[in-house]
Amino acid sequence: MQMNKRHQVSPYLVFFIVYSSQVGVGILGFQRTIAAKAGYDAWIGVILAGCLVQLFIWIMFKLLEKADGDIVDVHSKVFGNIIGNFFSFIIMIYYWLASLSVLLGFIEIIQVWMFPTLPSWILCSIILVLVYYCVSGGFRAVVGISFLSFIYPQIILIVLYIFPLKAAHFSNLLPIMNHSFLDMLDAVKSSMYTLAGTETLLMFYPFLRDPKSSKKFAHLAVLFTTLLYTLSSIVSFTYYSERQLKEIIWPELTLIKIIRLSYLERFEYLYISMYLIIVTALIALLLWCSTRGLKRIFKKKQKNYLIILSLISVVISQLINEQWKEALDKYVTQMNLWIFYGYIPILLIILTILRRRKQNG
Amino acid sequence: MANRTLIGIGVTIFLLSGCSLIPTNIVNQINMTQGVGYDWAGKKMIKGSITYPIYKKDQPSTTEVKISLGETSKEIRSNINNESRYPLVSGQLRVALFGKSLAKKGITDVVDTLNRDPAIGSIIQIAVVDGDASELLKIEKFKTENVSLFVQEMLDQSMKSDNLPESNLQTYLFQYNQIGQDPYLPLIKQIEDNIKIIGLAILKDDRYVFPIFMEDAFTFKCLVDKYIQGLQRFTLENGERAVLDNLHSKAHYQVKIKKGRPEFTINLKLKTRLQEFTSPKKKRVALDKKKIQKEIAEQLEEHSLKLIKKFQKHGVDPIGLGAKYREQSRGFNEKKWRRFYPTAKVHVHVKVNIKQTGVVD
Amino acid sequence: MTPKAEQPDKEAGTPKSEDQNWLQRLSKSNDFVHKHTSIKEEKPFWLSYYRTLISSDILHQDVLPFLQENLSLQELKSIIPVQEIIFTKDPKEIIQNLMRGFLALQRHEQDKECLLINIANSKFRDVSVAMMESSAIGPQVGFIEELDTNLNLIRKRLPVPELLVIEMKVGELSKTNVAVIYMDGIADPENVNTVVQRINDVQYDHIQDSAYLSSMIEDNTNSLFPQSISTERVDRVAAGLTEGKIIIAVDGSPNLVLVPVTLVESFIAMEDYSYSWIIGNFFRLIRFGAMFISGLASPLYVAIMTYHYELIPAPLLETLVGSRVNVPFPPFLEALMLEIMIEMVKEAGIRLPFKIGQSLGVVGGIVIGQAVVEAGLTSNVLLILVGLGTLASYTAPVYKFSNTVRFFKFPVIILSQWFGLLGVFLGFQFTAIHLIRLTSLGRPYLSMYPIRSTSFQDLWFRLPFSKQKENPTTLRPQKKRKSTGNRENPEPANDFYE
Repeated sequence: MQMNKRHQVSPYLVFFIVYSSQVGVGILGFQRTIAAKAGYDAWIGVILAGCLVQLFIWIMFKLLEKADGDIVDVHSKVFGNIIGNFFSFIIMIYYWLASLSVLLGFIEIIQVWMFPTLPSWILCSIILVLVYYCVSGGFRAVVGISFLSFIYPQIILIVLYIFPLKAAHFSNLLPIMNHSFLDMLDAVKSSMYTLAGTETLLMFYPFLRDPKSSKKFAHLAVLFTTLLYTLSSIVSFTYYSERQLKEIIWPELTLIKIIRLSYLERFEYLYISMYLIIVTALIALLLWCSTRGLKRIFKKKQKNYLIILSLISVVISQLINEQWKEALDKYVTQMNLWIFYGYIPILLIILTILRRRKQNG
Repeated sequence: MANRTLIGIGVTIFLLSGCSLIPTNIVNQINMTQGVGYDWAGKKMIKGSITYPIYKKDQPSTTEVKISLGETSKEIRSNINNESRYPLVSGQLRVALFGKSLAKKGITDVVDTLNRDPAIGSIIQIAVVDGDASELLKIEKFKTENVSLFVQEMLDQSMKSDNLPESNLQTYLFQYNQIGQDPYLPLIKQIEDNIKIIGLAILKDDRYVFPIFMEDAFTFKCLVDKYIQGLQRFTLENGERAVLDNLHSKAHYQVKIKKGRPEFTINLKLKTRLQEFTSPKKKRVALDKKKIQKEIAEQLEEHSLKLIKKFQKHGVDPIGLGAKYREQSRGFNEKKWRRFYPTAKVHVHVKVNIKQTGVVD
Repeated sequence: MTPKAEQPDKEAGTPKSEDQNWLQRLSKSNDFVHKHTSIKEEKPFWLSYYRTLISSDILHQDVLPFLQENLSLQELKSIIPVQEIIFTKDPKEIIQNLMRGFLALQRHEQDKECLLINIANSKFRDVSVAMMESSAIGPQVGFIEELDTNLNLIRKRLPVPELLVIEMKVGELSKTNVAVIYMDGIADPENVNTVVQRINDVQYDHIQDSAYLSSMIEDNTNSLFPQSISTERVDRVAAGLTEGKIIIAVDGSPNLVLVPVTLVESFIAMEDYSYSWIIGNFFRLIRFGAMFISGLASPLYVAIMTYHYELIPAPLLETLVGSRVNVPFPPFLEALMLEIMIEMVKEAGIRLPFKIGQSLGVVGGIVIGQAVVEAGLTSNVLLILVGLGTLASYTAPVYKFSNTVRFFKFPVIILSQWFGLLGVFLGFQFTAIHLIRLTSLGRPYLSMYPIRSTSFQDLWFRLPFSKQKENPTTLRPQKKRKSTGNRENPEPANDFYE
């Protein structure tokens, strides 16, 4: 399926899209979950998870190349229109739920750290208005905002790691590999979800001007994210002692508290506010994927789906309570793991078999 | 039609612009708690003192101290709130002092709220007062000078360029949660009308056990911290006195397992410069650097062993030998370590290097 | 291939009989002169002209002397020493040209044939220094209100035949001459076509200024950011032409419009090129920084003072809180009040006559500000911030843009009142998305995305002239490389290099 050439993006921008699709609210709190079983060796688990994601990207590219389109096309080719649309619909719902969990995670951070009395629906609506404005600018605007969100907040936030590293106890990481293989697997599983996000490639593949040369940028982006997450977990591990880490919900944010400049203290307020930019980019990308998919399945205007999904998100954000939020997170994680790491490779196999049959028969 | 809704929205925004959605903390309409002190008041009650500045126009600020009783820290705050003109907020907290009476019973309960509150920074200073914390905060002299800032900057300055090892809320929590380490805090005392740092308070878990005074602080800091500056006087054999300024020092720990028990070797390298040298012989003699270095090294070794033996006798481990043991060997068992600790063998090797002797030889 | 200028037939509705009687129609106005050169009825000539549009010098010296003899119109055409003479029977053309200051010469009163002679009065303001844009060094000459003089100034700078001009008339009642200028072979023909077509689509009564036209052909009229640059300076226009920009010149306006532009070009001042490239870049950076300061100083003050007292480090605490101690208003109202006051001072300063305006500057700026602080209505820290912000916004070389920056901080102040620091970033994010979506003539407005290597040669910062080899890609020029030669600094002749 060919897109209008004007709407396509150059290869190097794929780096920023994939990067921004992965870095979300997860990086702020994942250090605690991965260290739950694997302790301070969990950073190795992050690296392993990164390798798995690289494999996954390779599989996705192969799949989409064969179908020459996005996941909706793949499904139609493999399962036919009706069943294929049904499966695509499930994936679109996944994208929307993922965006919802990011949104809820960010709102929670703001309510805990900055404004405890801010009603969720107000913040949710504001962010979704921004996202609407972004998504209605088309894929180009979504990519642009991913690009900008890397240039401005992300680079600064990476540079900020210098501060905790100055006070780091590297000996915390010793002894290395003191945990069993099963514990490490648990760490790998936890980091898989935080590294998730690359599945948005399934939707924006037709927008790549040059898929072959975009591949290396996608792999580079995953490498960069893996390194970033490893760095982040190492920084947390060397800064906190193990029992201390178990209690802290957002290790990364608590880390930022120590930064003190001569004209500004308590950097975490700035950090969280800058994070708004990163979060908006991510939600815009996910909602764009979701609504575009719905548009392709049901053939109605993308704008309508966006408004419907936004309104539902706002209502949910106000009504949801802690229990349901955790259930949502768990559910989305499971969906992510099974759909993308289990189902997609199967799809690839099926498609290859179908292609072979078509060639032979 | 769309224009009318836009105008309606515009007017609403304009009218709402004066209202705030979130409770405001307008900076001159709050009382910013800058220092807190906690003392034991018998029967589960804590006596809490809160200091906050009152700003006046064109005049220097004055400090108010208010005291109240309560069972928990936040309860004390809400009691004091009933007496204060503006609401008390804790975002600018800089110093938390614990009276000896409370420190002996354990400070975890109070530290928990300091840790949990996102508005409180993690590099606030904690110190133990040899006496009553509220008395210290109420010193007359500091009515016009900000007592919390004074204490905080005094502690900061001493940690940077004197013999106090680095310590704040974060290091306290780190040490408290670290397996195989006990925390230490600065010890201050009110002497007549002044506040003075008299040494370090060694805690076992979270209870104050005994102090180390400033004479031992140099050696202690050599063992636990990276040094940048700090003076110490050494009296040599023949009555000569040398004052060394420590430019840089680092301690390396080695653990060897002999017969199932750990044996520690501490290698300490000091890079110093000579600040003062007096000799009982009235004639000026040239320095014999090598001899002086060797003598000082021996003195330091002796002193460190003495300190460590004292720690072992009391069963506290502020240097963190347990942690070092855990890092360098697998299969660490906390209970066994606690049994080994009082009799563990420690060797100290010190090497002193006098790099400069000032502009005179 | 040059695109043709089309003129939709606007007067197609009027019946021909009205035009036949152009004499009667035009005679309704008292400054229309219709006279006979001789006393006798049958002798020629009949002159018709607007007294207020013509130059009587040319009439007396170059036309009347030749009317002594009884020549035919054709012969007169070859004799009269005026450059533009049209021989026509078309009443529409006659009316049009009479309105431009032509003289209509008929042999007899009811003749359909006319000779139209251009004796228009073109006395305007002399060419002088640009009024709104000044710089420390560099050429200062600015355009004036007359189209032909402006074209003259441009052509003198770029005396090559590739410089093409397309002329059109816009405006129902004003019938303004509009010229679209571009370099053939450099400018993208698609851009040129777009501009010409959009100008042709404009329907409005009167076009007083080029700004009217530029707003009407803009991509997004609801945007705060100008999608074209108006300038009075000839060097800016000439430089733009060589890169592939398209210039729109409107008769009666000293401002010429450049399209397409990017955001960063609003920060480029022509005097950057008069300094060494390192110093020029430094000043450019200061202007970028000034924009951020201007847009963010007051909102950050409002946000921090209202919600985030924790961000203030201890030494600053005394200053900031002390300055606000007796202020009765919340920081939001304070900031709003001061900003609006400064805007009023600025507006008043523009309208007042020169002499009063000078004294008001002193009074408004210093005394009122000081008095407000002394009365305790605002804090002096805020006064500094607001003053700094306003000053910073004036560093933008393009006047339109400095207005944008100054207006921009009002919504951000409101947002920061609602959401604190988060609100400031919400505003930032909204602006970022808006800028990404904005296009100027279909080309991306924000030159950051997608990144082009050419934008580092002369946009964000400029490299020395010998390294500026390519024309900016955003303009999609046909001629990609400039004719920049290779010149490296000659190696110093010392023993090290031998």
